[in-house]
Amino acid sequence: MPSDGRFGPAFDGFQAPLSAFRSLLVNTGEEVRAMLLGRRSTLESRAARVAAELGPLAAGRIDPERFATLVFDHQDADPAAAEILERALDVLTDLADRGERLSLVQVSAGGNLYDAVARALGEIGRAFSAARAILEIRSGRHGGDDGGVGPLPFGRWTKAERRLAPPLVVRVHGSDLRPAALAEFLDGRQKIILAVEGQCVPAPLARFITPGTYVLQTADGSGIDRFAAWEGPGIAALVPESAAFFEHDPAAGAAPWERITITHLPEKLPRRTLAGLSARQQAEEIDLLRSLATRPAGVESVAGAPTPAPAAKKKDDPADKLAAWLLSRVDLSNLG
Amino acid sequence: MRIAAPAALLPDKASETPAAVATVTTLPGHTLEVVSDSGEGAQRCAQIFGTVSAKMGNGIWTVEIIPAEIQPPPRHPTSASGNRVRIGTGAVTNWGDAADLIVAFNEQALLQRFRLGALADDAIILIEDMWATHADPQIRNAWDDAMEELGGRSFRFINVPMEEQCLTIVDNARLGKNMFALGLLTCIYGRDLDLVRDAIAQGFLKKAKSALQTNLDLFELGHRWAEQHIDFRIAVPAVKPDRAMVAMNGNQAIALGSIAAGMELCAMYPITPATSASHYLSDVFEKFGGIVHQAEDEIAAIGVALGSSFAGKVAFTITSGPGLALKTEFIALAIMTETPLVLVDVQRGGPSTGLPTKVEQSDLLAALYGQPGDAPHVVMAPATMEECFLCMTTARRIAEALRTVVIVLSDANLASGVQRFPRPEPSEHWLAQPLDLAPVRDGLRPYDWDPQRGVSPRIVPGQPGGMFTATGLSHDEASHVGYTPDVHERGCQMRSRKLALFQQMLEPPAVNGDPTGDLLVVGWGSTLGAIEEAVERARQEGLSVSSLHLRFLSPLEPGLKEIFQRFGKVMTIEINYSDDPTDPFFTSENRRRGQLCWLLRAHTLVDVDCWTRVPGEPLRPGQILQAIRESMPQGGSR
Amino acid sequence: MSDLCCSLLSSTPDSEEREWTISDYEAALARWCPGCGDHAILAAVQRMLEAEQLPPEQTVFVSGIGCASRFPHYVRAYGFHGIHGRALPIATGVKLRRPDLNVFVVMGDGDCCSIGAAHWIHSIRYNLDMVALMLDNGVYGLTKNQTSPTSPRGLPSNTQPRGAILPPLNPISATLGVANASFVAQTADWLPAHVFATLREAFRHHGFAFVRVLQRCPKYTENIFSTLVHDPGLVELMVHPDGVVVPELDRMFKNKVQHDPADLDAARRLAVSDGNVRLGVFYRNETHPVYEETRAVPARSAGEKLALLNTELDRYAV
Repeated sequence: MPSDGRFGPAFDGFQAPLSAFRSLLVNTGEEVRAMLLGRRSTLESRAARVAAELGPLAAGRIDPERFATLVFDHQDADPAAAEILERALDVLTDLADRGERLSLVQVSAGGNLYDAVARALGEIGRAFSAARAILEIRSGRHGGDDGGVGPLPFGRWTKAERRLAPPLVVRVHGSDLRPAALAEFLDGRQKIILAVEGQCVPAPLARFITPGTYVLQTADGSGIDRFAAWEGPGIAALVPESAAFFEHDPAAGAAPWERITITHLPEKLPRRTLAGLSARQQAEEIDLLRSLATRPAGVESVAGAPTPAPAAKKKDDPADKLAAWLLSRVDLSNLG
Repeated sequence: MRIAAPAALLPDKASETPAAVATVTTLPGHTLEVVSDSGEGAQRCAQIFGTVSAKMGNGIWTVEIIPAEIQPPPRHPTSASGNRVRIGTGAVTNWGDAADLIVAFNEQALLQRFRLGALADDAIILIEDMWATHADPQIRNAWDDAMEELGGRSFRFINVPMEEQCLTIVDNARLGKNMFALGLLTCIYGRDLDLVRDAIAQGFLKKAKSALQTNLDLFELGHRWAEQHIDFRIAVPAVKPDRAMVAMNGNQAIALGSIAAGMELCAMYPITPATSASHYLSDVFEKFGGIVHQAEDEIAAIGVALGSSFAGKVAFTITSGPGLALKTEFIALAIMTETPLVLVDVQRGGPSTGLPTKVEQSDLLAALYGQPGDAPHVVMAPATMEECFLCMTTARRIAEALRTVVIVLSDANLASGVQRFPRPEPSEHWLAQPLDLAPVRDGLRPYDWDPQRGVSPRIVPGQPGGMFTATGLSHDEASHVGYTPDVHERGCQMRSRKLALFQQMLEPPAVNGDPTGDLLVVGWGSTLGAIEEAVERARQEGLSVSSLHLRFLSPLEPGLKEIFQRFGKVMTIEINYSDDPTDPFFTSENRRRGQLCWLLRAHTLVDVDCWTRVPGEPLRPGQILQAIRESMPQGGSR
Repeated sequence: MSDLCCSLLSSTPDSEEREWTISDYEAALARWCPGCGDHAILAAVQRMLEAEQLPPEQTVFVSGIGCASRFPHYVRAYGFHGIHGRALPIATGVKLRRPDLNVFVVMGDGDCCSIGAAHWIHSIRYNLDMVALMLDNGVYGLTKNQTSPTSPRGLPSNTQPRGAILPPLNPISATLGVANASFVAQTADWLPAHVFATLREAFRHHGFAFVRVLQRCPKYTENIFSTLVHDPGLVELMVHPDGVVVPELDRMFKNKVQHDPADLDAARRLAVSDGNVRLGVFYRNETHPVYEETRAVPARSAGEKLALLNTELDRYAV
């Protein structure tokens, strides 16, 4: 585990989901292994396998040939299917062996953040490709294709898959921090943590504030445990002191000002263009954050109405509409 | 006035005989005991001695000598706590007859062992002698009384000033004598000093360095004292085995075996003597992706295991007699719903709370027939520590393949005794047990019994298209409740047929010794080693005796009747109660017989006899030999 | 509920695409007596399953023995109809090793509060993420009219013909008294909208959700709830945005009490009957650790297990 600088705290909060995803890969791999054993046995001697499974105590005490009649095996001995299963198992094993490294993304200087994240998620998606290939075989449906187990882009992930993938921790330089396009990855339970190196714009994540998305800017990792525990999608940035620190917790209330806590705002307004945003645009983001976090005059609290799940959100909140509109305005053409 | 130990047997206290002059007796085996008050560490001393001996290449078998209470009163006969260690040049398969040598920290512990017949007539007794001259006259009197009771035999007493010696190093000798005693034994038996030092250090991994040094110093002190004061040495030559070996007790073996079997859940409730298996598992299981769930009671423990098994993750529960009784209804539910389940019963003395820490084999019939209603299932019994390890894999496979309950009957003798055996070589085949949540093919029902064999494929929650409700009520192939005569008959038949089918898969048991003869003794469980040693000795005496040891009690292994008919007489040897046939009070009609005997008689219609005892300790080969001699049929060859 | 899968193969993309309708949850025709409250509870449960779109193969109903425990047979899902009083241990085993499954427990008052009382108390402590329904009709029905721990004092039965001797046990108070209590609610079979809303909150709750459903037995205890059924004035609804919100009941029930389910002391006071029967969420607290999560351990592949096993065997090597 990388322990330098801002990576440490980011990873600590994610031990559980990382470990859960690895368990998922291991369990799935074990199932495939068993499927392979079941299939291979039609080629090898079933009795020998059954004898091995019963262990040495059964030697001379249980007739393995007769016992083998109790084992209900798949009768599909298609070698092409076995080959796909083996490839799928290789993918799952490889991903499991990569462990936390699977969740670690490094954006090289001048590199494209969106591309790097998309690539990393696509790699994780190999697990889902593999699972789909296995499911096809298990249902006896696999066609003549090679049962591709290559990368699967996030856009093709199912609802369930979007809740399973591990969080990504992305190390990116502030000057390359153009996160807007990452919005398309914030679905299901997907979490992205940006560990920002060097200076960055003051409120790079303000535009992500939507009712069901956990958004966090922090310098020391505080709040990352709540962020990690959130059932929905989320994006966090570990930022330098020159940026704002705030937390948008979707569970904290119905109105945006109830959900947002700002703990720090930069003293100086930005003067230089950074990461493609002019000083004015950067100031706009700070203003957006401030306005979302402020209770409009004369508006009472909404009696602490809870928002237990993203699905239960009210969709007509004006501030949320604004945020959505803002996001839709972001020009994605030069980021792809 | 102090009554001295018989003068002729007193050691020559004045002699400072150097080790070089000591006489060395070479023997194929030796049995020793270390006993103290509870808390003085005699067990630790003996355990290290046993482990080191195994490491040197000796066969070993250790048995714990335990009082029932945690802190019984000191210097009382019932407080004796310690271990017996039997070492041999070859494999050691049981705890032997009587101890050839004993180290006693006080004369009351010694007296208890003597009264239990644990000492050989010519045993060497190394005894702490501080009590003889103790300031408390009551203690001095107790010593004198004990010496009088022990007198008049061929014991060889060696008085050892343990307290006095230990006080040169520590303030509280109570906590140091065990290491001193270990030094004595290491010298007498010529154990490898470095191995002993390593083994001592193992116990101090998490403790202060200074504590370790103190213990090492006490050990060296004992060793030096023995070098200077003890004029004999005992050599039990060791043969380095040609393969890797391990030494562990049966509970550790069951715990490790369950991991090797791919189990991921042990649901249990504390009960002696089963619980130490879950202590060990609790320590290591999570590393393997498994957990120990300590339930709120015995019933919940098996319920949780059953729930996990129903959901596709075969689990096990571990208990002892009283717990087995409480789990009865759930056992039948698992059988009725055909949910695979492994239940380990580490038997102790019964009935009721009985003898919690002592061995007995009296749960056999309860394990087989304890469930009201017809509830066919598998019962098996490991006979050695190695089999404790291996049986978990076999049991789980059988449970899954037959969709039924497998009860594994271990006992307190296996559970707490340590034996050396070949290191198991776990295989991925043992583990393979992942879920397969493939959609269920159209039309498959949860109890689609093969009408001839009674088996059916298992469906687990999560499989699309397989939804059904398992029920303890009488049900048909679709698990629909049905009370009609045909539905119930059919269900009973199918559950029974599985057992008949499995019986056909079993091989006839091997006969130890000649395949025909005057007497066949039949045993099961932990008595294997003692029975075979006794049979061997009987055969050397010219008796025509063979033995047979059963691992499967339900269904019974095939061919028994045919084997029995080849012998003039068949007799079971068991550690459970039967009425004494020599007592004129009993007739062949009113005599209650041993449990395996009962089972074999019913099963084979052969007039099987039994010799059983319930001493709360393992049977001794000499006892069994005597029983064999007395049981030889009239006119048997000699 | 946790949707942490055990494996990538435990749910199929097909099943995700599929939209479940109420008929997907219907199994055998329920064979409770006509007029039995269980019918309405079953319908509410099926509505809730549809509302939450729970795949039937990912859902398990566990029950004990008694009228209420026939429940799993009537829901198309996996089910385990076990033995009297022991539904909770079975459910614990299912959820502990298969947290990907949605687990519901259905018990009667005898099942839960009498023969299975130990499991009830300890299941609250374990706090697994599951829903436990206690269908409380105040009587043993299946065995034909014996006094139960919740029978009102004085109610005659076949075992206590001169009236129940002891005061009834209060399941809500008892539950609220146990460490780790995490969701405690009460509803009544004759208010299906309330049953549905309560069940949905119970299902969405992360932790052990205990719901007592007051249930009419037309055969033996029709009278114990009839006054409540006919006089909504005797029922007090606990209302709060964090509790159960059933707008359609607003007009019928004038008796309402604002109760924040986060307030345990208030919950305990309200649980004690003072003539009014209270429906709604007494207590809700998602901060308690959930047992299957606390006990979750990383999965190991066969290769890793064998390597670790050999390390363990080294400890015993001689």
